[in-house]
Amino acid sequence: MTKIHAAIVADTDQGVVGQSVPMVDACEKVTGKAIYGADVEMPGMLYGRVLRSPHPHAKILSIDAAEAQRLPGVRAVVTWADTSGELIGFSQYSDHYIFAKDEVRFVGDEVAAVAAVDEDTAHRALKLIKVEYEVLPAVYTLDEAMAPGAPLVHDVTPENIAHQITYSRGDVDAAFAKCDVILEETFETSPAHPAYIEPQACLAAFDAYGNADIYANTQSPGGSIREKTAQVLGLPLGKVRIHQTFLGGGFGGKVWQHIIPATAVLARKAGRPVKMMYSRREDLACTPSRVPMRMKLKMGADRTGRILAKETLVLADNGAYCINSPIVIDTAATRIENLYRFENIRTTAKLIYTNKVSTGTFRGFGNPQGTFMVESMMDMLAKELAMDPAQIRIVNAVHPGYVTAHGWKINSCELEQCIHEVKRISGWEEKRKANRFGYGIGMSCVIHVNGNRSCFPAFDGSTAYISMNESGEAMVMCAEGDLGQGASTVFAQIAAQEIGLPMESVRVLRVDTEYAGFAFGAFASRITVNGGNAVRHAAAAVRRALLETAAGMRGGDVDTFTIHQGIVTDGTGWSATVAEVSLQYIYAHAGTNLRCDGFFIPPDVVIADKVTKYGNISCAYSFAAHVAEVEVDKDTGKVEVLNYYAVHDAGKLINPMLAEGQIEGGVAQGIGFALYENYCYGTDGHMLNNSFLDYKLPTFKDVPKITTGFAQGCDPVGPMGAKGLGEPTIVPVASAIGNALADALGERITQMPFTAEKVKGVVRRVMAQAAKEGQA
Amino acid sequence: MIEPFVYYTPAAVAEAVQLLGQRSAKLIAGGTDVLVQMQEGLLSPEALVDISGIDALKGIREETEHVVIGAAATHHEVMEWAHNLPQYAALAEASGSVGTPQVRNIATVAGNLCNAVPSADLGAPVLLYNSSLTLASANGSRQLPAIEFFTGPKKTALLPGEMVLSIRLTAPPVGCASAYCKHGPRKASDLAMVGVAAMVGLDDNSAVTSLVIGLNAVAPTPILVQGCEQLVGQVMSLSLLDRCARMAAQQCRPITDYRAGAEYRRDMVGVLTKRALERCAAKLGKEVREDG
Repeated sequence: MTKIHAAIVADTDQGVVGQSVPMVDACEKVTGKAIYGADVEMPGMLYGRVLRSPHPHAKILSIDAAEAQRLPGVRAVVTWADTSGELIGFSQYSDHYIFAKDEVRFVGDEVAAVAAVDEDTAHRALKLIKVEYEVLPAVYTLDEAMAPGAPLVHDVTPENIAHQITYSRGDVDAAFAKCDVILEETFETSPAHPAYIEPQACLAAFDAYGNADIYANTQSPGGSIREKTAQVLGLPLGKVRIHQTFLGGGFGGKVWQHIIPATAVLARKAGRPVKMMYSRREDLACTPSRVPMRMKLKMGADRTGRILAKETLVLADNGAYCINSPIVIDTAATRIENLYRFENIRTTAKLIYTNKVSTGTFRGFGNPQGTFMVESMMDMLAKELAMDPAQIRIVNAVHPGYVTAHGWKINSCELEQCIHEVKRISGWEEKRKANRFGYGIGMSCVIHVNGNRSCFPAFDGSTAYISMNESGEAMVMCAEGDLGQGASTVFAQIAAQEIGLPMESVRVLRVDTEYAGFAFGAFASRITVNGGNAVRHAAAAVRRALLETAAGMRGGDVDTFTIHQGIVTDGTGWSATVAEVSLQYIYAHAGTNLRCDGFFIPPDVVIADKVTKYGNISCAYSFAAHVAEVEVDKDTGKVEVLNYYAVHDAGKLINPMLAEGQIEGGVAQGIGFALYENYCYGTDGHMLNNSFLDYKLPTFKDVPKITTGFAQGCDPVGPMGAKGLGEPTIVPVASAIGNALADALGERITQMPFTAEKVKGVVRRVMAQAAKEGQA
Repeated sequence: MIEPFVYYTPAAVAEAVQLLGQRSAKLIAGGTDVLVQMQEGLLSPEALVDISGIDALKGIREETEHVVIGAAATHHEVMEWAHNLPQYAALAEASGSVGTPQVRNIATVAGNLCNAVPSADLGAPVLLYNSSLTLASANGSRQLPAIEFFTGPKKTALLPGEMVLSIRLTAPPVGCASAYCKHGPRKASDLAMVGVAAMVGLDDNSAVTSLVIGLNAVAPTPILVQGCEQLVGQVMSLSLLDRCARMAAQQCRPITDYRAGAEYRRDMVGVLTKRALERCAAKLGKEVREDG
C-alpha cells in the first residue's frame, strides 16, 4: 500500500499532466477491495435468471409459469406482460421488447425471468416454465436473408433490410475513367465478442416510493440504457438511479445491457432486491457481437498513387434486433472515407436482419470493418503500382485544415508523422527487402472520432463537478464514469494540474446518477476530450474560487495569489493550505462546500445528415499508423505475429503509461479478431463455441512485443492538448496483419479470421503454382 | 448449476472401490473434467469419490522393466519426472500441453485417459509404451492393455464401479527417444486439433531399431499407426519421414467439425508425424538424412 501511494505522489513538481502516474484506483483493484458488478449484495437479495428461446425463430403460443411460481423459494416470474410493453431499440429502429411478446428471433432471445432465493432454485424454476412455440422458418446468413422470398425475421420489415444508406460525392464515373489502375475485391469480417473478463451483472432494488435503485457494471451509467430501463419500467427517467460499479472490461459490450431492465422488472415484481449475473456461455451467445460485414470495394488511382474514385457496397449482418447497429454500419461505411483525401465516392450500405444474436458495438464501432476493407485495398493498389505501401498512404493522407468528403474538419492531425515514425521504429525499409515466402510486413492507418455528435440528437458534450471537502480534497464527479480504461486517473490528473493540487488530494467519485449529471458514457473514444474538458472547466472554476477565498482571507488583489502543490501563496511570504482555504469557504457559506460545475460542448460539430451522412460529427480526430510483422508456418498455416509497432497521434498525452496500456490492449484484442475469433453455429442456430474453450482469445503467448510510439502533437480542443485513444488502437490491427500476411504469401486472404486452415489452403495453392511455373 | 452430491475422500483404495460400487458415484482426482461437466448439467452423480488423497495412488514409480504412474499423479508431476528422460518425453510434452499451469497442477494423467475425449493429449503417448492399466473394483482387480481401454469418444472399458489404479508402461529399449506434437489455433491452452506421439530408437548408423507412432483427435479413440514395425532397419531419412507421414495420414479417420475440417486434420497428421520423428531423432543426436 505504502509503496503504491509513494509512487502516486512521485515527481509531480512539473505538474501531473503528462506524467505516468499509476491509476488512482490501482490500490482498490490490486487489494481486491474494488466492488465489481458481481460483488454487489443487499439484505434480502434474490437471484435472477433469464429463460431464453431454444429456437432461432418461433411464435410464442403460450407461457405457463404456474408450476415455476409454486416452486418453494421462487419469488417472481416475469414476462413481457410485466413491462410497459413498449418496443425498445435504437431510436426509430426500435424493434424489440426486453422479454419477447409473441415471437422469438434468435436462440437465446429473452422470454421470461425468474427471481428466487438462490441461484439453483432460479435455475430449477426456469425448467418448470412451459412455453409453447410454433417454430417458424429462420434465416442465418446474409445470402439466406437476402434471397428473394426469404422468410422475414420481422414481418414488418420487407426484404429483411433493417437499415440502408446510399450516398455519393463528386463524379464517381468520370473519376474512374481517369484512373490508371482500378481494382475490385470483396472483404469479409467476422463477428467477435468484446469478451470482457467480467460477465454482465446487475443488482436492482426498489424503494418504498417506486424508485429504482440499480448497480451495474455498465460503461454508460447515465446513457441510453438508463433511458431504456425507465421506458421498460414505465417510469420517468428521474426515478431510475444507476450506480456504476467497477467494470472488468466493457469494450463497447456494456453500453447496452438487457440485463439491467430485465433485473429491474424482476426486482419490482418480487418486491426485493434482485441480483443477476450472466454465465460466460450466456454472455457469449446472447449479448451483441461486433457487426460482421461483407464489403465489396472498387477503388481506382492514378499513376502517382492518388486515389481518384471509390465505390462500395457494404452488407452487414444485424442479427435479430437493432442494438446501435444502424450507426455501426454508417460508421463502417463512412469513417474510413475521412482517412484519405477521397473526393469521388459512391456507397451503399445495407443492414440485414438474420435469426442470430443481435450485433452491435465493440471497440471501434464499425471502423475496424471499414478499415480492413480500405486498408487492404490500399496495399493492393500499392502493389499494382509498384509503390511502397507507406508512400501511397502519405500521398493520400488528410492533413490539418483539410475538409473531408463527409465535411469532417481535420484539426490537429499527425497522420504523416505517425507513418514516418512507425516506419522508423519498425525498420520498415530494411525489413521490406526480406522478400521471403512466409515472412511479411504490413502497415495500416486509422482515423477515429472523439465523440460523435450524431449518436444522441438532443445534445453533445459532457458535464462534471468538483467539490472541495473540509480537508482540501477535490472530489471529482464526472457523469461519464470509468470502464477500467483509466478515465478516473485522467480526470484526477487534469483536476490536480488545473487547481494546483498534488495527486493525492484528488478523489474521483464513482458515478451515481442521483448525484452525477446526465451523460452518455464511455464510447466513441469521447471521454478524454469531452469528460476531460468538463473536469478542466470545473477545476478552473474551483481554482478561481479558492484564490478569491484566499484573497478574502489575506486581503489583496486576487491576481497576486497562486496555488501550487496544495499551497496558496500571495508572493509576500503569506501562505495557506488549500485545506485551510476550503474550510474557510465552508464556514463563510453556512456549511456549503466549494463546488463548481463545468461543462463542455464540442465546438463546430453537427449531426450528420440522415441521408447524405455529411457533417463534421466530432470536434477532434485521432490518428495512428501500425506495422505488423508475421511469420507463417508453411506446413500448418499457423500465423505468428513476430513484432508489432504502433504510433499514435493522441495529441499531448495526459498519462503516457495509460496510453501505452491502451495501445497494448487494443493490439492484443485486434490480434484475436484477426487470427482466431469467430462464431460457429450449428444448423439449428445454436452457437457452438460459446465458451473460452472454443472461443479463442489470444493468450499472452500469442501476443508479441508491442512497440509503441507517439507523434508529437497538440490538439487545440482537447484538454491540455490531449485526444482520445481507446478505440483507434484496435481499428488498424486486422488490416496491418492482413497486409503482412499478403506480403508473406503473395496472395491475399480477404475473409477474416486468418485461421491456420485458411492460410494453409493459400500456401498450398501458391506453392503448387510456383512448382508449375518452375517446371514450365 | 451443480446438483447436490455427497463428497467422499477415502484414504485407501479398498474404501474407494466400496464407495464406487455402492451408489451412483463418480470418481474424481483433479476434477477438472468431471466438475465442468457437472456445472454444465451433463453429469449429476449422487456422490463424488475423491481419490486424490490416497497415498497408494500418488506419484510415479520406476521398476526394472516398467514405470507405474499412479492414478493420482498430476500432469505437473509427470512433466517433472520425465524432464530429462528422452524416452518418456512424449508423456512430459503431452502433459505439459494440457490446459494451463493451474489445470496441470491438479489434473491427472489417469483422469485424462478416463475422460476419453478423442482430443485427450495423453492417449497416444501412453499407447507408445505397450502400456496396460491396472483396474480395480469391489470384486477385485485386473490388467487391461491400454489399447483396449478406449472404446469410443468418451467411452472406456471401465465397468460400473471400477476405477483405474495405475498406468503401467513398459520401459522402452535403451537408445529410444519420444516426442509429442500438438496442433491448435494458439500457442497454449488449446485442445488438440491433432496430436501425434512418436517413439524412435536408432542405432549408431541411424538405422531404426524401433518405431511407434500414436495419433490423437483424428479417430474416435487414440490409435497406433499400424505397420511401423516393418520399418525397423531403415535409415532415418526424409523419405522415411514421408512414408511414416503417409501411413499416419492414411490410417487416421478425422471428422469435420467447427474446430477444423477433416482434410486439414489429415494433412496435419502428416506434418506433425514428421515433426515428432524429427524431434525424436534430434533428441538422439541424429540428423534425418537427405535421401539419395
